Amino acid sequence: MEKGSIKISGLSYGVNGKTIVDDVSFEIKRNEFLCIVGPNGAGKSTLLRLLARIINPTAGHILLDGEDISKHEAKELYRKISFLPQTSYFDFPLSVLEVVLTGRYPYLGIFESESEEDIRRAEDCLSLVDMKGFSRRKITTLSGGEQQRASIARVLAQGTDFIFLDEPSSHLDIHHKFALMELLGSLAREGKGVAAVLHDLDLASRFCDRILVLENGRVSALGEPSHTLSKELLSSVFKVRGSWDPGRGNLLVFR
Amino acid sequence: MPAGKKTLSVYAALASLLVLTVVACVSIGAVSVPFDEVIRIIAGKLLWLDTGAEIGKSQELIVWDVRLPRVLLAATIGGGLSIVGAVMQAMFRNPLAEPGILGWSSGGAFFAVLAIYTGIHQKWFLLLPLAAFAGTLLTAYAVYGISRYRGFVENTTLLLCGVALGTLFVSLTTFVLSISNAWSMKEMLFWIMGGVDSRTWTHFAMSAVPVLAASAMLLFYAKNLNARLLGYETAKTVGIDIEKTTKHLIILSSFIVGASVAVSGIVGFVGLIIPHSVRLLIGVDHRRLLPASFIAGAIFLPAADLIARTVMSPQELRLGIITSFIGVPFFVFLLRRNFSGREIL
Repeated sequence: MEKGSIKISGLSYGVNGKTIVDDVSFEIKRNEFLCIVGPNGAGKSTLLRLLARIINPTAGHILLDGEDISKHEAKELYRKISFLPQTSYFDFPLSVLEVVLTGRYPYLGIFESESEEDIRRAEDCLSLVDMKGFSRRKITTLSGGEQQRASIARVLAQGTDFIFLDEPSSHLDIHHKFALMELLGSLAREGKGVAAVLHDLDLASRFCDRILVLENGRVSALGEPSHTLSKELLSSVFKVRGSWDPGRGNLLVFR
Repeated sequence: MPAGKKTLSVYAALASLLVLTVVACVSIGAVSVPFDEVIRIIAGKLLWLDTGAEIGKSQELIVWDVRLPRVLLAATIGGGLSIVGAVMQAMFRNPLAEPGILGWSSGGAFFAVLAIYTGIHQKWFLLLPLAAFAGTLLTAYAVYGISRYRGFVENTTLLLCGVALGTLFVSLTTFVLSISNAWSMKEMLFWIMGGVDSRTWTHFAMSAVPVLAASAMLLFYAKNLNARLLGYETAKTVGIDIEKTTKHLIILSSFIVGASVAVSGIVGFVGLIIPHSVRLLIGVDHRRLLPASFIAGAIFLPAADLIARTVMSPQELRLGIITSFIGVPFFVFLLRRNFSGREIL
C-alpha cells in the first residue's frame, strides 16, 4: 500500500456526450498545498467533485493510500477527505456551531451526540478562521464572507488528511483571503494534503507549493508556480500578460 | 448537541400543554363535561376502576366513545403531519414543502376513495390506509422524480409540480365521488376538506400504529436532515448516503401521510405551520425539532378541531377550513420572505 498520497490516473468525466475532465493524471501529496487554476469551464470544479466522490468518473481511478475511493464506505472515506463546495446553502437558521459540528458527523453513530471534545474542536476551528465568539450566532444573519469562513471551519472540523476546497476565498475580504491562504499552507506543513480551486493567479502563486493548470479538461501544466506560470502559458491559457516580480517573488498579471 | 435547559423546559411546557389540550377538547362541546369528570372517566377506563354510579352513562359515552377517539386521532394526525412537514422541508431544503402543498395528501385521498369505491377496503381493515399509503408514495415519487435533475431537486419545479399533481388528484377524487350514487356532498367535503368527525377507536387504531411507528423511525434520520440543510454536496461529504436515505425518508413520510389521510381526508398546512413555529422555539437541529414538532402538532390539530366544532355550533365546520384559514396567511408570509431574498424566520 502506498501511504500518504492521492493518485489520480487517467481520470475522465463526461455528460451528454461532452467531455469535461479528459484523461487527467497527477498526485496530491500530504505536506502539500496544491492549487488548481484554469479559465472558466476548464473542468476545475468537476475535477474537485470527482476527487470528493460527489460524482463518479466515466474512466480512470482515484487511489487513496493505494485503494480506489469508490471502494470506501462513505463515513470511512469522509474521515479521510473533506470538501468545501463552491456553493453552501444557508436557508435555515442553524447556529454557527451547529454548522461546524456537521463536520463531526462522519465520526458519530445514528443516535450519538457530539461530545465535549467535538464541541471544543469545532470552537478551535472557528478560532482558526477568525470567528471566535460566533458559535451561537445564526448562520442566516451572517455576511457572505462570514458564512464562507464558517463553512471552512466545518471542513477543518472534519479533521481529515486531505482537504479539497472549491474557491475557498470567494466572498472573503483581502485580509481574510491572505489569512486563509496562510492557514491552508500551514495545514500542509502539518502533514495534510490540501487542494484548492482558485481564480486568483496572484494569490495561488504566492502561497501554494505546486500549481495545476487545467485547460479544456486536460492538465496543461503542473509544477512549482514560478516555473509553471510562464509568460507563454499565461498568454495562451488565460489570455493575459504577466511577469514575476523578482523582488517579492510574486506574479503580476495584467491585460 | 446535548439537550440544554431551554430545550428541556420547552419539552416540559409542550407535554403539559398536550395533556391540557386533550382534556379541554374532550371536555368542551355541545354538552360540556367538567374537567374532573373527564379525568375520572378516562382514568376509570384505563385503570379499570369502578367510577361509581355518580358519573352518568351519557357522559361516559360522550367522553370515552365520542370525543376521546376523535381528539386522540386529531392529536396523532397533527403530530404525524407536523413531523413529516419538518422532514420534507429539510429533505428538499425547501421551507414551503408540506404534504398538502406538494400534493402527497391529495394522492393519498384519491387512492383511499378509490379503495372505498371499489369496495376492496371491506376485505381487510388495513387495506384502506394501505391504499392511501400507495397513493401518497406514488405522488411523492412522481413529484420528486419530475423535479429532480442530475441529483438536484429544483425548488420551484418541486412546488409547481406538487401543486399541479395535487389539483389533478383532487379533481379525480371529486370525479369518482360524483359518479358514485351512494355518496353525498358531505362525503366529498370530508375527503377534500378533511376532518375527524364521527371517528371511532377503530379509526384511531388504524392510524396511530403506522403514524407512531414511522414517526419514531424518522428520529433515526435527525442528523441526516441537519446535514441536508447545508446542501446536497456538503451532506454527501459528511457521510450521508443521499440517494438511499431519500428513499427511506419518502417511504416513512408517505406511510404517515397515507395513514392520516385514510381516516381524516386532506388536512392541509399543519406540516407548514407547526415546524416553522417550533423552529422559533427550539432551533433547527432535527434531534430537537422532530419530537417537538410531533408534540406541537398533537396540540394544534385537536385545538383546531375544537374550533371547527364549536365556532358555529351546532353546525360543524370542516377541519381543513380551519387549518387553511391559519395556514394560507402563514404560507403567503413565508413565500414573501423567501422571494424577497431574506432568510426564513
